Amino acid sequence: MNIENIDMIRKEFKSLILNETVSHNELYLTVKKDVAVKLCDYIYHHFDAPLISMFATDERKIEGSFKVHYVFSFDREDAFIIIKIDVDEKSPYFKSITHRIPAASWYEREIQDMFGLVPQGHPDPRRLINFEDWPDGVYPLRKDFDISTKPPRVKGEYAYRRVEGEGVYEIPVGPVHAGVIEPGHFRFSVAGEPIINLEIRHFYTHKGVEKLFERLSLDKAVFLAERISGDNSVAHAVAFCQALEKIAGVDVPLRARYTRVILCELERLYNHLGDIAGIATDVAYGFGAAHANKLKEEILQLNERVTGSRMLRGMNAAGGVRRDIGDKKDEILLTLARFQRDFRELIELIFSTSSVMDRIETTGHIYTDTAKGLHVVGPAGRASGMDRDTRRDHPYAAYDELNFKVPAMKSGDVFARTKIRSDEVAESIGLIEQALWSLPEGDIRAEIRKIPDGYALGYSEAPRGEVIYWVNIKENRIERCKVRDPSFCNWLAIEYAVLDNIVPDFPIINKSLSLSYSGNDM
Amino acid sequence: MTVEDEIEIMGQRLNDRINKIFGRSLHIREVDAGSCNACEVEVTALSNPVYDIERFGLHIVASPRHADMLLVTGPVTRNMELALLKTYNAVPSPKLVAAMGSCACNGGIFGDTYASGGGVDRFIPVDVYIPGCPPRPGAVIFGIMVALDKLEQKIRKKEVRA
Amino acid sequence: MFEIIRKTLRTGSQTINYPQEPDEAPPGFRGKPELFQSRCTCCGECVSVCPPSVIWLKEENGEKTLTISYCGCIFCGRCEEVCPHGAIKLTQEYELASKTKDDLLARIGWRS
Repeated sequence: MNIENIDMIRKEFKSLILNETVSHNELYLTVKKDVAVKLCDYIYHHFDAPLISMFATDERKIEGSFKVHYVFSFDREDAFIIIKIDVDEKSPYFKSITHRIPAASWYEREIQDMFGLVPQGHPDPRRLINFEDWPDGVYPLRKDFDISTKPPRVKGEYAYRRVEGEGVYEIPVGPVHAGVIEPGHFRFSVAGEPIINLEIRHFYTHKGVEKLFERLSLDKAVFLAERISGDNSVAHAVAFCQALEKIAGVDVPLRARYTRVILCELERLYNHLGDIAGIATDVAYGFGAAHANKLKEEILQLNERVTGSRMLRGMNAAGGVRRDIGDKKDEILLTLARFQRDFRELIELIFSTSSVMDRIETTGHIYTDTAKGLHVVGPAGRASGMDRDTRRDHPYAAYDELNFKVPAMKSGDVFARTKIRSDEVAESIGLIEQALWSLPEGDIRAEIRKIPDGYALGYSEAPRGEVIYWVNIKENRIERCKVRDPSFCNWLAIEYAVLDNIVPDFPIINKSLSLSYSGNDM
Repeated sequence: MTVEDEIEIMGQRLNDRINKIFGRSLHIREVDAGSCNACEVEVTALSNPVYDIERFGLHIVASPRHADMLLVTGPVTRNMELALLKTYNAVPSPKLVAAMGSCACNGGIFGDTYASGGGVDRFIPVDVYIPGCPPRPGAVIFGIMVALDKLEQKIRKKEVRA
Repeated sequence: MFEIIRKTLRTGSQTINYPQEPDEAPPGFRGKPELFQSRCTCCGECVSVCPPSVIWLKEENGEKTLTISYCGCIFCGRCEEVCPHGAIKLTQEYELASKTKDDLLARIGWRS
């Protein structure tokens, strides 16, 4: 961690910092709750450090209060600063930072719903996760809430934003959609063809995952992490396992770290192919869609031959991986060689088809300012000038030993996002080949008998963007596990991306952002 | 003839009728009742060139009102319960329901909690269970064929005692 | 246009003929867990590690039974991993669709 930065913060906030602890690359600063806004604002604007996660914990039994954590990422230094504040049960309020850091909006509403801590001055204090039929005063993530209680349904109504005026029509869509996608509600306001406002309403698939983590033992919890966002299984499992390994202070064998790279990149391949197929379908380019789907299926079948699961499940465990894939080297290389040739042909065809380009160029613009303000991550962010990639900025597994480029663009339209994906496919193939050629000999798993009490961040770059876990272990059980899926950041951007576009372009924009409902809702 | 026999014969007739109705083509509406989206990946794979379920006359349609069968994934979350019931009621009778994936079968790893309902059959009647996490596309095709009585189910309750 | 025709012809038909012909899962696939009564010692290891808790051990009227329900099984293979005697094995069988939940149960029992 860069000492200069810490000194600057120390100088500025001298007497206000109550406590300071460092563990690994994480610096925890405890401050009084009324200082939080100023300190967060300083870190965010002065160091250009994005807010990557924010969560509360219920520590009433141990320390007598709730805590709210703000996690900032220092990309150049591969470090994190976590601001901690105390919030007392008797006055369950803290000052909202949304007006200074827009990305905090949903996190604060989430804390309000799950812990009953109220962000004062939040511009949109409606409920987020609990629906209108959820009774007041029941907060699922508080320790005194039992996971198996079924609170009664009460009467209530959700207040949508109203857009009024001559010729303004509302189009409600969902939660059950026409395509094979997950549930969520969209409410368009249109004047003629162009969309003038979109309001999204999610959390239909809220399954209480964070609460469930606290009930499961550590080895079972890995399987739950795999099922938070099904098509990002590896990224979630890797992030979770890395948090555990960090707490345990275990060195993961090199062979396991290389294997994790291979798994992560295989996952990226089939996800990106699926997105390209989806975009081709939505612009009515059936030929491209069929070929992209065929290529995706080839990777899924390769996954099954290599790991026994099409979604690469059941491979990761705390300490390493559960299966060795070294003997499948030739098979992977052969399949990828064929895949690469087919893919290059296909993507050239797609990008040279005028009917496709006509639909995807200049559609669904996300400006760099918007992307930065909302902290848009992954390919969507990189297409809008946010040059961030966890693999490069906070290297994990074996990424620091392998060569790869991080494609970035500035135009922020559907084309840019598709182009970033197609470039990343090429990089992923390169990464898998490098990792296979230099796959070190040795164990695939370090034994972890008992994990000591402690907390740490785990992170990885999923095909959709960075996944952040914060895990707190107490007596070999999970005390709190905060999961931040990339979609949780990116969903907000869609409300801006669709503005001034026509309704028929919405599916393309949605697909190009590749958002997971389940990862968002958990 | 006893009452049981009569019921059996009626059941047989009803089955024949259903087969006649659904025999040649089946329209399927997929409903995600809170799955992790891996099942959606596999449902999408059903229409890719490799599995291509359209060759059996199986179509995935856009509205429950066009459908003969609901393919439900996910453990049925508290927030999706109402939407699932409304979708079920929108499907014209006679209708079939397939619970796809382990969560839909009995809640899977999400179990029965404040937010997760613990399986589709607690909310609507289910005709066929398709276990798997997620089931391979082949397993889904097999499940649909079992629901239509075109294939015999392979698994039977097994007890070994000593 | 030429390119499209060329690619289409070169790719050819990709569709597999399932279910007329079997589509076997590759070796190493994690499918239906099979119980072997003769090897099981009722130690209960598999019961405690099962993430969705679909394996139960019961003792009733002097009879011990170990039951697994494929309904809800997430095919993680933890049971196979921890079993000290190889009494539970994941097979390549994946055609598990069933009309009743009862058919998705497998049980082994002992009289003591």
